[in-house]
Formats: sequence, structure tokens, C-alpha cells
Amino acid sequence: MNSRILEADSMWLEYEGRKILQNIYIKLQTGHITGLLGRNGTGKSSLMQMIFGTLRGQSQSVRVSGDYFAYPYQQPRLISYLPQQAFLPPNLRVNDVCKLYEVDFAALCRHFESLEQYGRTRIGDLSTGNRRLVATLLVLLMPVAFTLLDEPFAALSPINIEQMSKVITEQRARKGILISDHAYEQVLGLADETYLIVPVGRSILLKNTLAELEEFGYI
Amino acid sequence: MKTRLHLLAIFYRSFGFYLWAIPMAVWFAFGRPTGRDLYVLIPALILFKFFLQGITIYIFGSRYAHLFFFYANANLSRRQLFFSAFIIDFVLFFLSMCTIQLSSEWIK
Repeated sequence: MNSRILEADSMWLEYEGRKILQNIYIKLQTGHITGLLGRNGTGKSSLMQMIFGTLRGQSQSVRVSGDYFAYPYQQPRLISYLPQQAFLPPNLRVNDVCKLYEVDFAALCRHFESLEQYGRTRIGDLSTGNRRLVATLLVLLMPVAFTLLDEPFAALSPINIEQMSKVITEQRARKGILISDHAYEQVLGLADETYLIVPVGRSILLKNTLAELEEFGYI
Repeated sequence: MKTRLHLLAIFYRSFGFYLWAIPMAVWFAFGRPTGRDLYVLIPALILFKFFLQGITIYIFGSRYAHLFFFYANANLSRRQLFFSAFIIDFVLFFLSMCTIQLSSEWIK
């Protein structure tokens, strides 16, 4: 696999004069998992949406292997994003969403056997946990170069978190993954490198991870 | 291309019926005018449809904004979605009017 690098640079976001993100730089690389940590309200989700291209800030630059993209999500097979909210239309069946996202339903079931019975089930009829599980797997297994995961472990049971971590590790071989979750130990266990967003909206690439997390008041 | 059309159909289906049915009901409420009378009504119907489309954009943007991530993951922007859906809407609406008109003349 040719290595590709996504660089998000000069990410600047203000809401009504309040600074959220200031001049953030983040680098993702295929074959790597990058962690993104930060306290509530520090702008992690906004940063992900700016990288994805659905949120415009005061300034932003997203380059993939040197090529600039104003709206990365509009490029075929470039990037996928798991938002915090339920985003799959409730009236669609799991099988149909798989086809639309070019994901093999059998691949979902290979990772989570319990999903086998839900192929013909509508998204809206799944439990909250299963809905989140299906959404996370779909975004993760899509054939794209980069995947952004915003709280992929939310609403999952401990055993499913364990299994999801395995899937994320497996997918690292195919893509670059940015993962943000408040289960920071899980994130640190997966990530090759980790960024911390500190007030007011600056990013720090952690070297001495735990010590710096303490120093900046994250833990 | 097939996937994009499927996604556009899913998007249009989520509100298309109301956009089609309400102006159609207005046309019927005015006595289903035809010919010269219809020419007078058409600009008003088009403006009314623009108004309904504006409301649709507002409701979707404020209450269902999270659903756009579903389409964004398939490379479709809001602008592409609404633009395509509204074109489909106009085509369906005027096709329906023509069909109803022709079939009623044929029945006579």
C-alpha cells in the first residue's frame, strides 16, 4: 500500500467571537492510528468536521499527499466520518446501507456475529447500542484512505469495545484513522501518536503521554 | 452513478410527498384550472413551491442536520442534495399535472 499523508493545517474556528480552535495542525498517515484527546468543549468534534469538510472555519487547509482539498468528503474514496449523533436514516435496512457504503454485510458479521440476524432489519428498529455498532463498523470498513471516528466506543458494552478495538487495529493496515473518545486509555492503547487539544484551541503532539496529560489537566 | 441516484431518491423520499402533494392540493382547490387559466396560476404555484422548498431546507437544517453526514460519507453535499431533489420535485409536479390533465380529457 502506498503511504498517504493527510495534513490539516491552520485550522481556525471562532463562534461569535469566541475562539474554539487556533491554528491547529494535525497529521494523519495511512497505516497509523492517531489519537485526539481533549476536555469537553475543546473543539475535537468541530476539528473532525473541519477535516472532513462539512464545517467551515475562519481558515483551514486540508492536504492529502500535498494536494489541497476544500471539501475532502466530496472526493471519492478519500475520507469517512463517524459523528457522535445517530446519522443513518432510520427507515433504511442494514443490508441496503451496506450496499450504499460499499461494505460487505458479511464483513460486519465476521467481526460481530451477533449482527447476522439484522441484515433485513431497519436501522430505526435496532437498539441504540446496535445502531451505534453498525454505524461505527460501516464508517470503519468503507473503502476510503482515511477514517475519522468521533467517540466510537460510546454506547458500546465492554466486550464490544474490546472487539471494536480489534477491528480498528485491523483496519490500520488499510487506512489512516483519527480516533477521539473519552475512554482515553483505550485510545492511548490503539494510537501510534496522540494529539491533545488544550484551551484555548491549540494542539499538542504528546511525547511523554501520561505525564503531559496530567500536566495539561486532562487526567 | 447508480448509488448516487439511489441516495438522491432516499433523500427526496424523506420529504418529497409533501412537496408534491401540497401544491397539487392547491391546484385542485382552485378547481384544477387548465389552459389560459393555468398559465395565470403557474407563477403562483412555482412561488409557492419555492416557499415550501425554503421551509424544507430550514427544517432539515435545524432538526435533521445530523442526517447529512449519511450523505456526506457518500460524497454528496447539502447543495447537491437539495438542488437535485428540487429539480426532481418540479419535474414530478408538472408531469403529474400533465398526466391528470390528459387523462381527464381522455375520459371526456
